[in-house]
Amino acid sequence: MQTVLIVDDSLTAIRQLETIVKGSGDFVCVGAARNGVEAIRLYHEKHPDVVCMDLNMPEMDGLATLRYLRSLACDVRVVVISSVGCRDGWYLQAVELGAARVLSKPADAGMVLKALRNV
Amino acid sequence: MGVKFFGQYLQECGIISRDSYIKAKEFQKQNLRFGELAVAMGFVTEKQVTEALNRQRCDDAPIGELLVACGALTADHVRAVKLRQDETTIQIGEALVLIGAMTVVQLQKCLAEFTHEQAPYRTDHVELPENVPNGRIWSMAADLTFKMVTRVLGLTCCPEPGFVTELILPNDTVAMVRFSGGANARYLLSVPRTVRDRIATSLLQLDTAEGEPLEVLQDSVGEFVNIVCGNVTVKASQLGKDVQISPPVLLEIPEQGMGPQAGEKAVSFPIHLEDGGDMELIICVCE
Repeated sequence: MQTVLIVDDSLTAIRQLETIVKGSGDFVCVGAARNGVEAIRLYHEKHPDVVCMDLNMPEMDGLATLRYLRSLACDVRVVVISSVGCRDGWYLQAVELGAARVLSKPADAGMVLKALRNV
Repeated sequence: MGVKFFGQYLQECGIISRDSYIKAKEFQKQNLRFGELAVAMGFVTEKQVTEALNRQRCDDAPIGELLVACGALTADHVRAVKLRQDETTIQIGEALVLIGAMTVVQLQKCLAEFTHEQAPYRTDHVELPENVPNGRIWSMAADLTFKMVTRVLGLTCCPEPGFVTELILPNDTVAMVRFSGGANARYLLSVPRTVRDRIATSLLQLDTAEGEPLEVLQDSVGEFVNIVCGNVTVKASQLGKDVQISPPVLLEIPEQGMGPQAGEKAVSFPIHLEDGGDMELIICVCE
């Protein structure tokens, strides 16, 4: 069973992703963070296999969080799920920072699970 | 679902790898923008292009039009530059073929499938009141909102034409996102309790909103606004405008209502839902 950390400022998005992960059978959610600062704290606490990350968040956005995770030279896999992820500039930055997949919101369960399983 | 561009689509479908995408984007860096090409062709100076780009922050018009308007270019020049651009610009699909990441046959097939998938998000024109800055962007934003009410929430809606308003009335939930950069405005979606609950049940795939915390129900309106506005930024970049959005927040509107902020023009789009509920989109455009 692989562990997932969800990072999104939206309770709705967190609930949606928790439901998808719970129903997957091969992933389990180990925490949810509402911004990048919380995400970093939870990352160090839980050491998830995969992080599902929003980009547009208060306090510390997804790109800054991704940059931090990369600076750790860790092998955590990041799936970006964001309403702004599909903007060319953001998308390229996310990919260059090592995001394994970038999905646009609203992302359906099938797309999310495909991304989680194939990263 | 949602607006996306072709390179992203190809990655999502597993047609190309991340590395191929990055290589193709590098390849595309040789593409010149209209202004750069006009300078390279000797029609205008860099200074003239810079001045036109600055004007473009306020005037929602293509750079060629602005250069003609200030006398720096003629219409013939614009045609010549566009022709040269068409001949020399390498699209992402072509770049991927050139670097060997896909074949021409694959490209044609994927383009057809992509066009079909994105068809529901192709924007029709929404009329705005006159003299609204960056009207093209806000018309697109309104249209995308109406489309996503239907596509994402599964609600059939009938919007009214936009009109300028001096009063924003209170409602159960008013979620706001701020646009900045190439086009500045506050985007507000105002919904009553019944519509708030419909949004929550749609997004969370619930049978009923009963028993759900208020925070979750109101957050779902914010998340819907976030989704719409994120897609607006994508389409805006396709129209040549680089805009950013803030995370969504909830607004408390006083009982007597409130006007737009100083320097704003508020355009209201009442949206009627098939089951009788109403919502209101208000775009407070910075003048």
